[in-house]
Amino acid sequence: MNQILEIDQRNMTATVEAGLVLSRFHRTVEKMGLFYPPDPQSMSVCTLGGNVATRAGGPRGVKYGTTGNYVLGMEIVLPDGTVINSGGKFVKQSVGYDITHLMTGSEGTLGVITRINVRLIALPPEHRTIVVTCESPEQAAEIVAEIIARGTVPAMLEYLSQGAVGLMNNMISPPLAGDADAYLLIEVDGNRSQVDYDTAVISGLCKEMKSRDVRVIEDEREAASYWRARSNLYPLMLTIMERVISEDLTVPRSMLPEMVRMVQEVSASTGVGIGLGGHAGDGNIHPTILHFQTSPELDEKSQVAIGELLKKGLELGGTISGEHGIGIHKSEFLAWELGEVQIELMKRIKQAFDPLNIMNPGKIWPEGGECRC
Amino acid sequence: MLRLTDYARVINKCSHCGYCQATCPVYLEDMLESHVARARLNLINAALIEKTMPVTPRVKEIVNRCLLCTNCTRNCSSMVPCDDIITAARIELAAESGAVDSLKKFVMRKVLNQRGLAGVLTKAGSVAQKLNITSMEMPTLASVTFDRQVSGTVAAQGEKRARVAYFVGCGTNFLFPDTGSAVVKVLAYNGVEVVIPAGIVCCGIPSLAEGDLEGAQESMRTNIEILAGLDVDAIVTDCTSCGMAFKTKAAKLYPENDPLQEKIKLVSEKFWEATDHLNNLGLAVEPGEMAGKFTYHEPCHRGWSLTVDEAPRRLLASIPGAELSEMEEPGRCCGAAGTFYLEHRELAEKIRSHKLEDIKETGAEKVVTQCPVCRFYLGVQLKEQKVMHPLGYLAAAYGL
Repeated sequence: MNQILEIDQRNMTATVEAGLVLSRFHRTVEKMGLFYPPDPQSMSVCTLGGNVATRAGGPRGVKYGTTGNYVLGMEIVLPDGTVINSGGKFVKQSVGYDITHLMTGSEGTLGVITRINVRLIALPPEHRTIVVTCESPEQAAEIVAEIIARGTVPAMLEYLSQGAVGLMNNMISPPLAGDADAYLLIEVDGNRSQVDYDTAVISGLCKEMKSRDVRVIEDEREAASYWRARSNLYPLMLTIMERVISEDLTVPRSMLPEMVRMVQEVSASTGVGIGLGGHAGDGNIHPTILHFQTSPELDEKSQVAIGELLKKGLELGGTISGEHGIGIHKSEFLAWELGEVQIELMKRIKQAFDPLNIMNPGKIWPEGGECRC
Repeated sequence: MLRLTDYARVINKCSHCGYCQATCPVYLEDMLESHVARARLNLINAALIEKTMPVTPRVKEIVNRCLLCTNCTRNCSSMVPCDDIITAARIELAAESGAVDSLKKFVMRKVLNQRGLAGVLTKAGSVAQKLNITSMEMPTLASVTFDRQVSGTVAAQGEKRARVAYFVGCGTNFLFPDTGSAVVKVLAYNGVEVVIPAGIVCCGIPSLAEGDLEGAQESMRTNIEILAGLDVDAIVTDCTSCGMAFKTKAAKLYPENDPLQEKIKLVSEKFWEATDHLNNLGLAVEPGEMAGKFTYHEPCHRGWSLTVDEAPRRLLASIPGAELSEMEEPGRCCGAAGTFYLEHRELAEKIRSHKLEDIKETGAEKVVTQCPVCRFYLGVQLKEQKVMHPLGYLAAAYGL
């Protein structure tokens, strides 16, 4: 169950089986001049079925949205074995409840997704990478907020800490001077004039805001080395850390400078090392808990820090998960964001699909149905 | 050293990210989680290190159903030496049960490790028959092995630019002496004096793959003692696996305090693949015109040099008329992996089939690669394309 069943260029859609590996899909459609933007950084191994079930995101979320924005329809096996088809190859539909997007992000709790129809777009002909070296994390966050405020929409807009660049330099060629506290890694895409225009706007405002350096990378191979290193950032962190817990708290983009300050405060007050890195452009700079060593004591402290981060993130108008989903890890915090009424409603939906509770039990809300919080 | 106990800590560096799924040729065919590095390491940890589960025939099967291609190791961001751990597991399994096949041990210890033995070829031939290997799948051995064709020192032509020792691997010696003669001729033509040391034996990679640590130690010791005593600028090999043996495996064969370690360091620092070395040195003579499309198959055992895969592309680009037509995935495994293809025939053929398709799609008439086993295993199926070593191609362009 890992095949591409159809690429329909006339309708700009594809039909794939759930086990298809994302990077193979990317390569295949891009050869045809088509584009499937969702790009979770595990794309070399993750599958389309998993992407849909978890509503996976990635750096391109800032311009292109996440998996949910591309799902048009699917084949679903319900818990009792009945096979249904929701949605289709059409780009709009207004018929009853939207089962397709209810299944998207349902984390396997409602049924098994076996086949998916997705929307494709035209592959942007040009793209360009820009690296901004910032004076401070706050300045980086302010630049991100300003880029968005000026109506520029980069294809990717990533925040990188000094530590992240240090690790990525193992794969970046030639390496980037690693002496600044914060960096932005940006890709703009589109037709030539759009790319030129966006590059000029971004470079201009970075200079206005007195960033330390702005570099437009002309060499394709060099640019590719940055993005390859970015894809490998999580495993790269594990080369020096015993434990890495990547949170995906996401805030409205205007609140990014506040979020950066908040994360630093939580780190200081809880005594837990928290790095920042990731999809700044869509308000999703992953606060990442880093332990050089592990101990039950540190794990306990981390749990406190995660609670603090999420609570304060919600106060900033954010969400506890931009792209990773709830699973087990965040189930105890669910009520903070949704409240009891919404959770109760979701449980009744779960009950309607899966009365015997056999589909991925224990996910989204803790086993037994009660939140600890 | 390649002892499992030494890996008890590093094995836990695996973060289970699963990125090894992307490049493991066995996983990509079998599509079984238990057949990818992440799971193999877990299993080895449980069965052989922590001993919380029995060593069943299935455990052995999983440990053996691995090409040791090193793709997982090269792509592991956590830098877990997966192939070393799997090798160490094979060593332990072999030691426990005396499992190294006696026939294979015979081939490796008596044939590859003691070249020049009278009647080597007849013996190898009879072994092939006993193993019931069809002539199609078993390479034809050269009628005159390379060590009987060329020996001693070959003088540099023109101004002498370097003096190198040439480590002749088993593939070149027994199967493809033409590669050996191309290496010597091309290097000499470019002002390199080539010393072919006497007494060289197998690099030990085949023994290691069988879990025969002693066999690998024995042959590596012989080689190191000879090579360390040479007054040369570099030591070159035409085979990426031999290079890997010296560069990244030799030191792991012996305890850290073994007196041989110092010599190993000396030798391994000088080791280069011949194409790589010549590319660094630069050509002294422009090659002649040789029009045609070629494609380059990157051997899996390339992680020991950053430039070993760039060198053939660059060097051959200097041949007027030669046009490189890249495969979709030039670094994809061909499935041969020493003798793996004999024991896992069906699987190896499936892995090879993708490579063959990729090659045919390029429209190339020549396939170059530095690995003699890849050369053989691809060549068996490629009737319209010629498979050769990059320096074989260059030798032809020079008219040597």
